[in-house]
Amino acid sequence: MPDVMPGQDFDVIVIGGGINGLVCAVLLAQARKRVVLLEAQRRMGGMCRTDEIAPGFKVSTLAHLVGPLDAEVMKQLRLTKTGLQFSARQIGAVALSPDGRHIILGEDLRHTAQSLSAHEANDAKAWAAYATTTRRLAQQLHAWTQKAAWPPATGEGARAPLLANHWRRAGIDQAAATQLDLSIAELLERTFRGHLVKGALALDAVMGNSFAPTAAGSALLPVMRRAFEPRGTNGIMHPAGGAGALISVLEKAADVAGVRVRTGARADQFLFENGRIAGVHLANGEAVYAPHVISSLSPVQTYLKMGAERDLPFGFKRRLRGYRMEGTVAKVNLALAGLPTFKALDKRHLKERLLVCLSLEELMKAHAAFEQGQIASDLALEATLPSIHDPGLVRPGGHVMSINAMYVPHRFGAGDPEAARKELVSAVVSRLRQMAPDLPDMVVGVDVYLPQDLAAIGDGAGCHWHGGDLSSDQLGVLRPAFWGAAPAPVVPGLHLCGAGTHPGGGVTGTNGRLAAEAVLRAMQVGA
Amino acid sequence: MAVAAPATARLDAICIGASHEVLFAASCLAASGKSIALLNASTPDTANAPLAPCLVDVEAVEHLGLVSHGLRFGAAPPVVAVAQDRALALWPEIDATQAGLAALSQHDAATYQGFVQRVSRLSGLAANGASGFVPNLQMAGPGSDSLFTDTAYLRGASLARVLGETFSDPLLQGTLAQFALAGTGISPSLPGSARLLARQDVLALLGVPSGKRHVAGGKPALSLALEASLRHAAAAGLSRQVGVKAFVVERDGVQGVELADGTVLKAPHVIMSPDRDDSPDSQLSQFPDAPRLRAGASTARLLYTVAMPPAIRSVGAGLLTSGANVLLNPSIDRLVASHGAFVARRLLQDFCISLHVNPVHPAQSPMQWQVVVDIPFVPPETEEGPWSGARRQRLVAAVTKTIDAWAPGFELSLQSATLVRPSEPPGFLDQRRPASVMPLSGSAVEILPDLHHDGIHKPVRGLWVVEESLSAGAGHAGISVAEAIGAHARTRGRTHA
Repeated sequence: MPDVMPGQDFDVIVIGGGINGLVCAVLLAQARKRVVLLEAQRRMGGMCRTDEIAPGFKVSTLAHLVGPLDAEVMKQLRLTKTGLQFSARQIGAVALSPDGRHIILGEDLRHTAQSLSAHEANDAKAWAAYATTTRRLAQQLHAWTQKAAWPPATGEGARAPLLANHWRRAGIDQAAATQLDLSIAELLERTFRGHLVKGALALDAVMGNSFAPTAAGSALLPVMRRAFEPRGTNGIMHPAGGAGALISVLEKAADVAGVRVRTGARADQFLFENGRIAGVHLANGEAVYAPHVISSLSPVQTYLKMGAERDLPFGFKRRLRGYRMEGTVAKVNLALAGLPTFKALDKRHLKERLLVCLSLEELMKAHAAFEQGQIASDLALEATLPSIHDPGLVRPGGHVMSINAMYVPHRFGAGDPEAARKELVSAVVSRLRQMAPDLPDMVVGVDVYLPQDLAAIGDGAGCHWHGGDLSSDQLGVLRPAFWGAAPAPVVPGLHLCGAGTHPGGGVTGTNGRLAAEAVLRAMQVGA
Repeated sequence: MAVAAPATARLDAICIGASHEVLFAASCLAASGKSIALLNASTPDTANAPLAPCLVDVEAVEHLGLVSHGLRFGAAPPVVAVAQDRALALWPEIDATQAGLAALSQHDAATYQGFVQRVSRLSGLAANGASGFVPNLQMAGPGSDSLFTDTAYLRGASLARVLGETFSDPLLQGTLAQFALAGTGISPSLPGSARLLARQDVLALLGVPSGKRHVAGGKPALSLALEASLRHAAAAGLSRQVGVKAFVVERDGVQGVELADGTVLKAPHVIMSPDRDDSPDSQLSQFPDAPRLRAGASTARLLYTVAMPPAIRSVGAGLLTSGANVLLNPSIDRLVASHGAFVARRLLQDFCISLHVNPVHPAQSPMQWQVVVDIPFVPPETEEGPWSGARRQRLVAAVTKTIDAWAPGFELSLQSATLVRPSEPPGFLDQRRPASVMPLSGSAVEILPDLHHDGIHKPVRGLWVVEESLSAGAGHAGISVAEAIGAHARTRGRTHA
C-alpha cells in the first residue's frame, strides 16, 4: 500500500450508501484501495430498506423487489455466502382483471396462453411470438448492459471501428433496431388485441418513468429489463427480510473488505486542486481528501449543485439541465389483518407482481392527469404481497402489501402533503377494491411516500424510480448526457455510480460495478 | 386517349374522394391511359376551401406537368408568434429570422443557425429509417462521431427538452413546438417528439432545402391544377358525384365498390384517402391492417368571414395578409396541459390558436377576408358528449372571444363563423342509423407519426389507402401508387401473354 499523501486520507471517496455505492466501494476495497463511504442519512440503504409500518408488520418500504442482480457482483461479493437469502425468485406478473379473468405473465407459456385466450383467442399465439422476440433481442442486448457505454480509452477496443461494424458485432440487426425504436403502445397495438394484456404490459414497461407509453423507443424497456439476465436464471427476486436484508449483507461485505463507512456524513461541496477533484467538504464542516470521488447521487445533484458546475463544458451542462428525473411513482404500504381475496386467482400466483391497469387508454388517461399536475381516479398499480413467501415479515395471520402507484406528479401535494397522502391512499385502496372487495376492511396500518417524500430521502436521486427517465435520449452514451471526450470523466477525478448512469436504474448493482471498473482503469493510467 | 366508359365496363381503378393524393394517383393513371372512375360524395367547394399552405414534391409536379395546368410555386409563408409584450417572426431565410430574433434574445439569434444545421442532419438521417437509434445502443468509441450521437439524441428526446436546451426565449420554444406538432395529437413532452422537427413543413420554415416547394394559392390551387390535369387526360367524364356504401370483397381482396345508389363498380384496384370526410372509413375497420386515422384527428378548424383583417397587436396588416401563420401566445407549458386535457377527453378553454388570413374573391368584394383558425388538442368527443348543436356554438363563441382579446374589434367585424372540425357526428340527429356514426379517432392512444412512412397503406389486396407523407411532400404517395398499379398491370399482362 502506498504511503498516505499529505492531504490524502483515502484513495477513493464514495458518496451514498445505496446498493450501487456499496457495491462500488466493496469492489474497490477488494482491489486493495483505501475507500471511505459517506452516507448522509443515519443508516445505509438509500431506496432499499425494511421498516416496521405497524406493530408486527415489516415491509420493504421503498424498493420492494430486487434484481436481476448483477451476476459478477453476486460472485465477487460472495453475497450468498455472506448470508443473502431469497424468499422468492423469478417473480413474474399477473394482470389483474375485475371479473377474475386474470392474465398470468410469467415464464410458463402454457399458463399465459390459457389465461390470454380467455380474452382473445389470437393473443395466445401472439404472446408466444412476442415472448420469443423479447428474449432474442434481450440476448443481443446483454453485452451492452454489462459493459461501460464507452469502451476503455486504452488497450483493447480503444479505437472505435466503423459504427456499422460495431453494431453488427453486437449482433443487433436492423429489423431489431427498428422494433426497439417504436413506442411500447404501438408495438402492443400491433401485437395484441385484448385491452388488459396491452394495458398491463405497457404499465410494466413504463413503470417509474415520466413519459407516456407512446414515447418513441419505449418498446426497448421490456427488452432491456430482460437483457440483464437473458436466461432468467434468478430474475426478479425478493430477499428474505425485505430489501433492507440485501443492504445488511452488503454492509457486512463492506466491513470484511475494509471499507470505512461513515453515516450521518452529508457531502455538500467538492474540493478542487488545480482543476482536479481533491476531496469533499461535509455539512458538518469537515473535509475528506482523496484523488477520486465517486458519487451515487443523481447526475444533476453531483454536477450542478456541489461546486463542480463552473468546470463543466457548456454543452454538457446545458444537456444536464434537461435531464429528466422527476419522480412519478408514489409508494403505499398497507398492513393487512388477513389475506385479501382476489376473485378466481390461484393462491400460488399471489407471489407475482400484481399489475392493475386495464387498458392502454387508461394508462394514457393517468398520464394525461399527470401532465396537468393531478392524479387520475384510475391509477396504475404494481402491488406485491411479500408476506406470502416471507412470513417472517409479519405477525401470524397478518399480511403486508407493497404498492407502487403512478402517474403521481411531483407537484401533487405541494401545498398540503398530508391531504394529498390521504387522497392517494383512498384512490389506491378503492382501485384495489375492484380486484379484492374485502381488502379495504383488512387495512390496519398505512405508510405512504409521495414523490417529494422520496426526493427528501434520496437527496433528489431517489425521487425517480430509475434515477432518470429511461428514454432513448437518456440511455447508453447519452446517460446522463453526451460528453465528447468520453470515456474520460468530465471533471477529472469525479465519477458517477448511481442509477443515473448506463445501464440505468433497477436494483441490480451493475452501475456500481461499472463505476468501480472505470475508476480502477483510471488509477492504472494515472488519470 | 381514354374515353368515358360505361359503368358496367371493367375499370382499371376506382378512386374515392378528392384528397390530393387520390387526385395525384387518378391523374397519373388517367395520363397513362388507364380507365378509372373518380367518386366524390359531394362536389368540393374549391372556391371557399380554406387556403391552407401546401408543400408539394417538385418532381411530382414535373411528372404530371402541373405547371402547364396552372400550378405556380410561391414563397413559403412566415410564422408569426405574438405574446403579451412581444412578437417574433420566423422566415425561411435564416438571416431574416436571426435579425428578428436578435431583438428578443441575442443568445437565440446566435444559436438559431446551429439549430437549423442539427435539424437538417436529423432530416438526412430520416431517410435511413431507424438507424439513428443505432449509435445510442452501441458501445461508441472515443473517436466516434459526436454529430451522429447528437442525431440519436434528437430522435429520442422530446420537443420540450430539445427546444428548452437550445433556446432561452419561451415564445420561440412555444412557436417551434406548436408548429412541429400541428395535426399530430402528440404532446411536446413526449420522448421522440423532437423527430417531428424533420417534417417537411418545419424544414421548409427553417429554410432546409428538401426538394419541396410551396404552391401559390395553397391547397385549393393544387386541387384546381390536378382537376385541370384530369380534364386534359379526358378522365373528367368519369368523375361522379356519388357516395360509396361498401366495398365489394371477393376472394380475400377488394374487387370494387357498391355505390350509395346501389350500382356496383368493379375494378382490381380501389384507391382512397383515410380522411373521414370523403371515404367510407367505417368500412375500413373491417380490415385488420387498416391504417389509423391520423391527419387532423385532434385539430379543430374554424372558418370566419370578416369585413377586415383582424388587427392583431404587433403584427402588420401586410404581414398578416401575406399568408403568414399567426400563433397567439404559443407556449410549451400550455401545449402540454392542453394535451393532457385532450387525452382525458376534456377541452381547456385556454386555446393554443393558430390562424391564417386570406382574401376572399378580391375582384368582387374586396372588403371580405377569410380567417382560418386551427386549434390543436380538441378531442373529437368530450366527456360531455359529441360536438353537436348548442355545444358547437359555445365552442365557436369561446374561440371568437379569445381571438377578440388579441385583435380588438374582431368580433364586431364578424360576418360568419363555421366550425369545420370536429364535424357534427353523422347520424347523431338521425337515430334510425346509429351504425353510421363513425368511429372517433380509432383509439385514444395517439401514436407518434412515422416520418419515414411513405403514406401508402395496403390493408388488403386491391385496396390502397393513401395520405400525404410527413417527409415526402404532396404527390409522392399518389404517384407511387399509380406507378405500382401500372407495374402490376404490366406483370399481369406478361403472365397472360
